Amino acid sequence: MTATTVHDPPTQRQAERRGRGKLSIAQRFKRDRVLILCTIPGFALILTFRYLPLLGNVIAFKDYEPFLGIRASPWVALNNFKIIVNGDTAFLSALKNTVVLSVIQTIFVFPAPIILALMLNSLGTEWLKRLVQSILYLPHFLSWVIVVALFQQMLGGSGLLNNYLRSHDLATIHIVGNPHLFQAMLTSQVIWKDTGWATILFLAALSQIDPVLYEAAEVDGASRTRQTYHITLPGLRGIIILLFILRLGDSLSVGFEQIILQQQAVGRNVSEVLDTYVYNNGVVGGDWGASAAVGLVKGLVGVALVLGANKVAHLFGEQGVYRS
Amino acid sequence: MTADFTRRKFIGSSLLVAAAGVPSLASCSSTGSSAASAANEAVKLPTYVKFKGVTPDLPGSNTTGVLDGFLHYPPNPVQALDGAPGDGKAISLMTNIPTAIPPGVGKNKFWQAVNKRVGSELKITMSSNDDYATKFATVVAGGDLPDIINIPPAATDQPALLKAKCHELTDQLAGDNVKKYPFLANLPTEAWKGCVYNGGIYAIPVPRGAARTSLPIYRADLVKAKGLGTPEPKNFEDFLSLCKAMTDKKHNVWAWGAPPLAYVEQMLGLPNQWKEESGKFTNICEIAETKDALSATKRLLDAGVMSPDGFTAGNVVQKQWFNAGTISFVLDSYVAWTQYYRDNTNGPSFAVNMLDIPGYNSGRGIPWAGLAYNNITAFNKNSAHSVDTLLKVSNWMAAPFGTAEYLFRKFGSKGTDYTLVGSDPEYTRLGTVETSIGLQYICDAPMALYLGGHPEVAKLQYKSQTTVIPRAIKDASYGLYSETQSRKQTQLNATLSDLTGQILRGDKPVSAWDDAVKTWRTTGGDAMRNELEKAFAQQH
Repeated sequence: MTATTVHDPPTQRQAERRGRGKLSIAQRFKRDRVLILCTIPGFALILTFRYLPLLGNVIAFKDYEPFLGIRASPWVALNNFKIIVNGDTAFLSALKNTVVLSVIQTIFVFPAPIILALMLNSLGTEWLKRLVQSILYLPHFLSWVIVVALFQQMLGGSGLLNNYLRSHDLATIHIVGNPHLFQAMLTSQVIWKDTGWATILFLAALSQIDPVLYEAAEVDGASRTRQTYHITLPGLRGIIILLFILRLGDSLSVGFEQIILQQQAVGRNVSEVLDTYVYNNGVVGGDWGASAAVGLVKGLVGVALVLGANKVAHLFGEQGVYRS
Repeated sequence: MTADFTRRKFIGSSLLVAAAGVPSLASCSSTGSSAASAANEAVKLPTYVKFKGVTPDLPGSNTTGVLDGFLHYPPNPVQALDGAPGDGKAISLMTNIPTAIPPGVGKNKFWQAVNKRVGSELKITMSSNDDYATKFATVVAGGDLPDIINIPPAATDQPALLKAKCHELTDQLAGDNVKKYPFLANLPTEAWKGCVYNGGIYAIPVPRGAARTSLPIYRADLVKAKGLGTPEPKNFEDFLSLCKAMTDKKHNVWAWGAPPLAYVEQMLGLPNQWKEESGKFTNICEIAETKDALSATKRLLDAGVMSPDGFTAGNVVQKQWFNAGTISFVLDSYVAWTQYYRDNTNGPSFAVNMLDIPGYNSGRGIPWAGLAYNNITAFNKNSAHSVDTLLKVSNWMAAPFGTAEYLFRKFGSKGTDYTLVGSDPEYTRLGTVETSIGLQYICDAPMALYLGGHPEVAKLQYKSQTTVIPRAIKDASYGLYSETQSRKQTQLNATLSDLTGQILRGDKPVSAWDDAVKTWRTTGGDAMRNELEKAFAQQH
């Protein structure tokens, strides 16, 4: 294949690429003007809603009062970062909960759609596969308010399950509002809601695997397990690593809305995570500066994790999120 | 109601000066100095001119704070104000709704009629009571404040907020100037004390006073059905037995929908937040009996008298449970007592009463007086409306019991939102849904004990108030300025409240309270105390 490519006449684009050095910026701009024009709305959107708001992080260095505005609020240098450096109890508790939840979710939530995608892929009947897929996608479109209310109505202290048990003189099961089960509860809610939806990317990757490989393996006498191990999983490796790296970047965001809706039931000591800490102390408590500082550090840790994981992926010969 | 209310009586009464405003200290500037307290002290509060247009059937008392009671609405109520207060341009406001959110203006005839009578379209942003403080903080952060701002008591750093964003109203309201707005002059002086900031009057109170005092309200019909008559627990054990009797787990029926901790604290004679003795301030959390209250409330919960979802339910849900009979007790105010009848979907058998507070072991408990105001409202500096217009609109919203304005504001239009039974308005189904647009939190008349068609309710409420209110104690910090309190109280309270939940759920022992109080002291409690003591010393 390589030899063929070498002897093929160069395409126009390849020629342009080789000659890139010779084209001036103006020439390149002229050549790509339509494409550039097409990117302007998207670029403006990202600039306005993603990059410009980053400037607001300056309040991490100010004693910010929203009604005074950013300019009028006094500078306090690194004062707001004291809670991080000095280890404020509430902050440390939020950090611990975040890390624990992140690890739990990475172990249990991340592989769930891969397993489900493999199971769906093994379904022979096409209509059944589509039906199951559609049903599994549905919960993704429910808001967290609805999902939490559903869990409450089913498993709450006076929910369907416990009301049934109580009316039959059976012992009730304390699930919703039980601090010891809170992490398990959160994780199962995420799995129930989003696993189906998250299979889409994996199913797309699965459809890209050449069926010839399976046929060849079958001819060679490979069982379904061997085929999964030697063909399917290697075929998914790229997308798994890509998503894993992106997940790492997001690892300190463990579900704000989902948690804030259930926080009152279990108390902050088990449910406060960095996002709710920022909200409770910033928006509700009025300590905007310190909250912004925590948010900023969280963002930096996320970036560092993505960069680090991407580097590791390169070391293992994978594409990762990007190549420099 | 014994006397007819006529326009002549109203005009005559509005000219009577009942009492002069008392200069007060109150909350103050963000500079947080004792100078701020002194500046507040110098502010002349609005002169109190009591509205004499109606004579109550059950007269209240300015001394004790017991409210006037009315058995019937005055017949032929008269329009007390000439013309519409609005300026023809839309006025935006933001408020909270204690019940279900009503239909929008397009489908709400009451709202449309209000717009017409006010003479300006009211653009109301609503959110439920449970979410309002958060909504408020978010709107402030977004900088998108309406013309009239309903500021909840829990809002942080109110002095700086008011100074930066709101009109100072001292020129219009101090002393006799308030008489231009006679119904604002009719608001109690005690409530105005909460409107003084940065050395000036910056807001208008939504008065509540005794009406906001909260005790266990109970479903008298359900209690009677259990054969318990009119319960009067003599001590905590009696109360516990009563709660147990009102619980039927098998049928998902509970005494309580939230832990009644505050009630137990009042049984134990704990202070209403801050206590002052010889100029020294002590917070409720620092007093040993607070731990006893926690232990006792834990006992109640361990006895299974609270709904298993009691830690999850907000106020709105509890009100629904109360209405549905899922719970038979709720810690709530006299205002809510009346509202429960309005929200009732159980038919005429529905009845509500309120428990008094016994001492923990014997004798009588010490009730906590409700805050003089429910919230304050301020006017946005960037509003396109003149301060005079906004004050006139507020004055209209404060038209007192007995006027045609009050009747319309609370009950809507005759035939559509209410029907008259004798002289008493009774809501139609539509009226119950439509009229709850939150105007009562923009400005309001002084509370009156009254429920149309239920003279027995006014009598019961009056009886309860005459027993409870004279012995009620106030928060010693009311009207004193502490910068730390203003900026950090919300966070500090949230931490203690979270620990309270953990203790009551059994996740932490009661002994964990001591460490939390130590932290509370070092992270702001002691600073608050010092500032309050200084402010108190200046005042006395």
